[in-house]
Amino acid sequence: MAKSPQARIRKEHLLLALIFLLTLAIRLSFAFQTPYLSTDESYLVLRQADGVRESLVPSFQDPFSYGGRSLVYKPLFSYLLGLLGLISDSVLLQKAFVNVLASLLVFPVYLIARELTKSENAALFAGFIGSFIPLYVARTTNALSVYALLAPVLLTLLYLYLLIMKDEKASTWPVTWFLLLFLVAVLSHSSAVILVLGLLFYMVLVRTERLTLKGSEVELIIFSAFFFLWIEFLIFKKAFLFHGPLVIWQNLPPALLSGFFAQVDVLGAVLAIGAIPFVAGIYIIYKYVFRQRRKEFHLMIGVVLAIAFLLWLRLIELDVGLLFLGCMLAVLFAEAYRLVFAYLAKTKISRYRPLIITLVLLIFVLNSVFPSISFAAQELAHVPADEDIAAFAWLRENTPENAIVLVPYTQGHALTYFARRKSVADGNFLLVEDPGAILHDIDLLYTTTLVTKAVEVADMRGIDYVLLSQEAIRTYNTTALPAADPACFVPVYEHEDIVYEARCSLEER
Amino acid sequence: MSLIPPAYAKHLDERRALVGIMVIAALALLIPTAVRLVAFDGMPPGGTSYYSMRMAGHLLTAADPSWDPLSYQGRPYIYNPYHFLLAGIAPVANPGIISLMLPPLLGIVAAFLFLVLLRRLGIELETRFVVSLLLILSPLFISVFTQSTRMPLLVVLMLGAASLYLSERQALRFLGISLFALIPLFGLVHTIAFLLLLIVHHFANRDRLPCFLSALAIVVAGGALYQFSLVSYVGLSGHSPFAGQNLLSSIVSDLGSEAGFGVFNMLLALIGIVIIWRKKRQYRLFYILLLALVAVALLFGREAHLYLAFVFAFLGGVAFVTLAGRNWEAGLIRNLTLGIIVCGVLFSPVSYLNRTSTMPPTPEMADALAWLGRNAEPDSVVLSHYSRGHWVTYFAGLPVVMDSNVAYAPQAAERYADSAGIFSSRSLETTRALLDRWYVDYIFIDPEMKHGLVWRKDDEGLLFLFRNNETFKNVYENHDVQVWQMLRG
Repeated sequence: MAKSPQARIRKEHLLLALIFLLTLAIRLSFAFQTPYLSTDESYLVLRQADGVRESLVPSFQDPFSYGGRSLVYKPLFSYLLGLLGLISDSVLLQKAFVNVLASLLVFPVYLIARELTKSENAALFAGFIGSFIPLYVARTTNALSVYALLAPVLLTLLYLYLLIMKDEKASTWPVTWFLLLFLVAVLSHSSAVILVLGLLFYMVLVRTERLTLKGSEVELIIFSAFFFLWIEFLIFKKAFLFHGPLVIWQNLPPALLSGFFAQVDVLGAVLAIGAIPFVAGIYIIYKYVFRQRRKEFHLMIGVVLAIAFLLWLRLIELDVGLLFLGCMLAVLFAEAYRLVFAYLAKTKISRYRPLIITLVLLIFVLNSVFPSISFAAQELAHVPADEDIAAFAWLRENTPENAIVLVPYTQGHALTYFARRKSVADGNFLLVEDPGAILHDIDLLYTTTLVTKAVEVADMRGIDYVLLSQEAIRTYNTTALPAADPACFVPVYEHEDIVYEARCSLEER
Repeated sequence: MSLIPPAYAKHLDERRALVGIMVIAALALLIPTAVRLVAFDGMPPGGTSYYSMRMAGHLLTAADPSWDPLSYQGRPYIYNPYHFLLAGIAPVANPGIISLMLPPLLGIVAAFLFLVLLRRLGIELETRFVVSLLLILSPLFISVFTQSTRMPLLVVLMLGAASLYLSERQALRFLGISLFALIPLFGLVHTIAFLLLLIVHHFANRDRLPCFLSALAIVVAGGALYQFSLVSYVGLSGHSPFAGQNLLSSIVSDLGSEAGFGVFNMLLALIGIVIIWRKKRQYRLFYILLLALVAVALLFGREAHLYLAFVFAFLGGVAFVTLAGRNWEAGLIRNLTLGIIVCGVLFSPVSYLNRTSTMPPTPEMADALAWLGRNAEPDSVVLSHYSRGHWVTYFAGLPVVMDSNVAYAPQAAERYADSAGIFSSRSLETTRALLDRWYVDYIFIDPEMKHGLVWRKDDEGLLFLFRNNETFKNVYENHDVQVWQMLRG
């Protein structure tokens, strides 16, 4: 007896909900293992959210970072977390919220895949794959990452664009929602450029293939481009004037540039995205660029080309590019699934279809789910050490409020969050003059054996305390400050971490 | 030349367009002027304004006007028509006020003349209005018409002469051609740019050959004569020591350029190029002109950017009118898009107006230099960043090692290299030798130099050496403006 349409629909929805809940459960099981966060940047977001909670508006003045300075950033994400903080300031709640956001990716991936393939099974598989992109899971499970919001929003925007593309009746609701969500994306992070550039590449592809572009599509693309540019210049005006074009690379010191904006390594990309979506997605791109013409796939390929273009020119971080590439390839996997099973249906082994599906699922679990879990577990190792947290707490209780504390720049935000003291440097380099020189001085102070040199650096940077944290011990391969001196760098806290007080300064001639 | 079918702006007529453009030009140009009057004691912004004021006075009072004793410690003076204009008005009004008010007034005249010129070229009213708006709201236009340099006069001269040249009346045409003879006096780059415009216009219209040939002959002859005289007088101009600066930062106003283009203006211009590409056969000469002007701008730098501003304004106007007149499927997106374009176009000039209103020199800097002028020996040589050179010569009346007027300057590259060496070196011996080479007696430091223009840290380079009180003595300090005297024992 054939099942009723309502029963079929409920089954797909149930499966989708199950994928969402499974994803969320796995994420939360990792996230709740520790009260701390894996990335230093998360602590900056936390502080910004705390600021919103206290004053209900985002603050663009930071009294702690680099000893006190202006900030330039897109406030929407920290604003949302801040509003959440009105309910409770628990970090675990905020982690849960971020993981819920990240898990929502399954829905737009499913919807886009269903729109492209008209196959519920293919769409469900794509949704499942989209939930377990290893890099995406790693970056968003135990961190307050804006990509947890941006990825689902960008994919939803693509879905809405697909609806607008196919809508003969010119309904207004997809356009309205597109505009609203686009505003959310643009106010969240500059990586929204992926969508804008993707639409422009799509337009070029369509024109090249002599396909028709609807008027509403052209209008949306023009609007998106102008709006994105305008918001970028409005928010980053000060940074553009300060740094010029270097804003695009976030004013990263040259020593760090090659790490963040690295060349793509194919093996690394496969591991980060997952082997199955990678291979399947590449095949579908090849098919719809060289063999077949379908506007919907040109849209997806346009976005993939945009990501590749930005990665090639090193205009976005490698991790960010691979993250979004993974999302797009997960969507394209649905078409590969449909094609493979459509082919198998014509063969004798079609009677083994359930077995084949199980096999594919197993391969996927091995190639994507397990690596995702492994990546997430590895991220947990990056949380601040308990010894460092204890040292931060001591600093908060025992040092003056306007004290400047030296830690490796990779712990700058954690210091300002836990210790509520000024840092010498952190990972946010926008509006910072000559960050390379600052990082050089930090390295110097942790490594020099010359007391006068260390005092000179401490004097110049206004450093009151030097924290030899577990991070510093690992980075500089030392168990004590080389320039430690009974008169000038006095240990005032000695446990696994050591806090030195800088008591000397250079005399004037 | 009609590119787009008229689609809107039913309320726009000639008179309203003219009045509107002139009012907006007045607002855009007089706002920074008003700020300078109120907050900066009426001091004009920028360096070259002070050079103009000084040379106007020099022409009136110097026994030998052909020699400038202060710039680069003495150099031949290259005659500038604008200085003569200022000198002519100086007996009647305060030079500072003239330098502050004259450029904006010339800007309003330029806006009027540009509108007239576009009408003579046959461009429709709506497009004319939008093109003129884009031009007068461009950071480059505001930059040119808020600083007392020869550029405002040149633009008014070119636009006026071109409008007359395109007149139907022969007498006015010949008057225009006569005025063309003055253009070579403003320099080689403007002669070349003007010739390009003239030639392209002729080949696009192919009429009035005698007028064209007359104009061509006058400009070419005038240019050749002037350049020959210049080379005989001062020799060839050396290579600019400022070459190699970041291109994007020097042409995009939003990235910090003092005389650049707004991002949205450039974007609209790009869309304009795409729109008229459909009629590329018809507009091939326009494309040639655009490429030629880009080449001139790349070769000659900032002064040639002005011509691109006119071209970008035209292209941007075409783009905006096309977008606005298009049949949009979604009214909401239409309104939002046009609103954003307007906001984006306004963003650059508003941002630029904010910068230009608070540009140095500040009253504290003027006071410090005036003090120096009163208390130093008359021939004392002053060293500062080259961008401060004109302020030193104007307020202190003392010779400087270097200023921003590098064309035909003696040993410009050596002076630039040695100045950079003096500022960056921590070796007293090296610094002393360089200072002695140029007979430096005083060093002028202002806050901008200490915070990024020259140094970033308090003990960098020369700032570190200032601790040596046997060689340097701080003779003046006020709000981080300092004057140091070089002690020669």
